[in-house]
Amino acid sequence: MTVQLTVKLYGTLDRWFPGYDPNTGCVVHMAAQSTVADLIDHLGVPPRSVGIVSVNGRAAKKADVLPDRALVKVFHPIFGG
Amino acid sequence: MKFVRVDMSAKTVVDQTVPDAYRGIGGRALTSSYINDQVPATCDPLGPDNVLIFAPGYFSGTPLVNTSRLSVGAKSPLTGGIKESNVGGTVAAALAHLGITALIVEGRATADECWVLHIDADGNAALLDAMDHKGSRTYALVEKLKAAHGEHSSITCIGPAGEMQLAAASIQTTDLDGRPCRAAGRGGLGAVMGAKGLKAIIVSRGGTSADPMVDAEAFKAAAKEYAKAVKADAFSGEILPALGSACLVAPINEAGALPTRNAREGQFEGAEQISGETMARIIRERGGKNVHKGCAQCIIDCSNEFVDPDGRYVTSSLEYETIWSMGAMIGNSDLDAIARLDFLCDDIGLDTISTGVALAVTMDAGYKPFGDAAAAIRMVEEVAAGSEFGKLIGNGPAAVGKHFNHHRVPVMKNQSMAAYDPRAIQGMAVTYATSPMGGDHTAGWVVDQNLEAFGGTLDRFSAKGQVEASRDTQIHMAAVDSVGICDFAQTGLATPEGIVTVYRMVAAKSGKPFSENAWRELGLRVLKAERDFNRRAGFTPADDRLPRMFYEEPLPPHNKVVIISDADMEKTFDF
Repeated sequence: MTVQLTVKLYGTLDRWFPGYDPNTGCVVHMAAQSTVADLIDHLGVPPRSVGIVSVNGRAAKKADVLPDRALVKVFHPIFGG
Repeated sequence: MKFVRVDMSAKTVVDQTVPDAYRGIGGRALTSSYINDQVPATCDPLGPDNVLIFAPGYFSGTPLVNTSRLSVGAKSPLTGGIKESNVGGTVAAALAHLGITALIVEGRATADECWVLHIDADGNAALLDAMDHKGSRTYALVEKLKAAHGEHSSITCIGPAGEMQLAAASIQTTDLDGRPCRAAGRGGLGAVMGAKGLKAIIVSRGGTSADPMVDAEAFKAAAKEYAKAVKADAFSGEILPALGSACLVAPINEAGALPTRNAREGQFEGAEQISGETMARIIRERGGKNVHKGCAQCIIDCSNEFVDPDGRYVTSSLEYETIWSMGAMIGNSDLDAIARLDFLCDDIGLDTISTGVALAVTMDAGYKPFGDAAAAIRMVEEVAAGSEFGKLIGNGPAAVGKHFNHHRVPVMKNQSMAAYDPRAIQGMAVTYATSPMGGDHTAGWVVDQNLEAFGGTLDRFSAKGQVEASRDTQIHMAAVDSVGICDFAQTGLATPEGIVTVYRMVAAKSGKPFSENAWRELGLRVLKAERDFNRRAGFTPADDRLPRMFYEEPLPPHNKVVIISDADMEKTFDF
C-alpha cells in the first residue's frame, strides 16, 4: 500500500529539486503510514533547512502520519519579526 | 561621544558631553532612560515639554555588520506612553561616525515655522530655515535636500502626515540609494517631529570620529566571527536575500495566523498571490531588484526594489508587515496595489502597519468593501490632501473605530497589532498586551517557539510557557535594540557561542567585563524605565489587555480564542 502526496516547497527549498514547478508542486509516492519525518528524509532536504510543515492546511508534527492524497507544504525556518 | 541638543523654541544648538548617567549605553537603553528621566510623563506629546531623542545603537559606527540601527524615543501621541521606534538605513552609522551618541530635540517652534537641522562632516550642527519645504512629500524633499547639501548625506524626515501631527505619522530615513523608504513607523513619532517644527535632519556620511574602543583588535575578532555566523545561517544567509521578510507570508498564512479582513480569519485565500515567492518572481521578471542592500554595513541584503510592469521603480522595500497590512488585512491580493500603498505611506510619512489596519477598520465598518484596493489608495491619498477623513486615517485604527462607532479594532494601548494573530499564537497575545510599546511584534517575537521545529517547542494554542517565553524575549529584545543589532542579524547570536560573541564585543568596546547577567540587566533596565514612565503616565495593569474580539471571536480555521488569563498577563513583568 502506498500513499500519493502533492508536495509544495517554499523559500529556497526548490533548489534541491531542479525543474520544480511552484504552480503544481511535485507528486511523491510513499509507503502507507509514512510520517512527516519520513517524507523529509525521502525528499533529501537537510532537516535543518525545514522549519514548518503543513498537511492539508494544518501545521504538522514530525510524527504525524500522512494521509493519501494529502497536500503537504514544506517551509524553511523562520526568524526575526 | 557627545549629545547634540536642539532647542526648537530658542533655535539654539549646543554640544554637550554625555552625562555620566547615560555613558556606556546606546539605542533603546539610552532613549528610554532619557525619556523616563527627563520628560514629564503626563505632558502633551505634541507640546514643548516632550523630547524627541535619536540614538544610534551601542554598536553603530563600529566594524560590526548590520548595526546601522537608530532608536527614536519620545512620549507617543498614539499610545500616550513611552515609545522607542527603531529604523535602519544609513543615519545611525552616520551619527555614530561623527561621535554623536544622541541627538536631542526639545521645545517647539511656532506653528508657522519649518526648520531642518544640518550636521556637517565635522559634526557641527545648525538649524536652517526650511519654509520652502513646508508640506513636501518625502521623496521630493530628499531630492531637494541632496541637491543642496550633497548626495553623500543621510536624511531623516517627515512628510505631510508628520506636519499635520497625525498619530500614525512616521519618521522616514534614507537607504543606501538615498531614498526615504526606511521608516521609524510605530507610535506616531513623526507627529512629535512635526509638532517641534523640524522637517528634516541632514547628516553628513563623512564622519571619522566614531567613539574609540578600549580593545579594537578584540572587537574586530569577535565581529568577524559574528559576521561569519550571520552568513552561514540558512535564514539570514540564503532565504532573506532571496525573498526578504516577505518569506513569512506563506508559512504564517499556512499556520492560520495571518490576520485577514480585519482579523476575521487567520488564512487569506489570496496569500499565494502576495507571497514572498510570488513577489520575488515578479521582481525578477520585471527587472527589479531582489538581494538589495538597504542599510549601511548590511551583509544580509533583505531589501528589494519593486518595479511596475514597465520596469519603473515603485517602492523599496516591500516587507512582510506591509504586505499583510495592505494585503490580507484589507482582503487585497493585488501586489501592485500593495506596492503603491507602501510607496504612498513612505512618501506621505505614515506607518504602513497602523495605516493598513485603519483601512481594514473602515472596511470592517462597512465604509468600503474588503478587497477594494483602489478605495484604499484613495483613502491614503486623502491623508496627504489633509481632508477631515484623511486625518482620521492618519490618526490610526482607534480613531477610525471611534468615528464609525465600530468596536472591532485590533489595537493594544491604541497601537495596532502586527501580522501575527494572537489567537493562533498565544505568546503573541502576551507580547501585544504587555509590551510598554503597545501592539508591537518586534518587542517580543515568540513566533518561532510556537511554530518552528515542526509545530513549535511550545503548544501555540496553550497558555503553558507563553508568559515566560514573552517575558524572556522582551528582556532580550530590549537589550538587542540597545546594542543596535538588526533583528534579522540576530541569527548571529542565536547560539550559545553567538551570544557570547556579543558579550565579548561590549566588553571590548567598553573595557569592562560583560556577561550573561549584564545582558539581562541591560534588558531589564530598559523595560523597568519604560514601565515606570507608563505607570506615571496613568497606565495600570488593566491596560495590559487585548480588545474583546480576541477573547470572544474564534479565529478560523482553528477556531481558537486568546486564553491567557488577566492574572497570567500580570505575571509577565514579575521581576
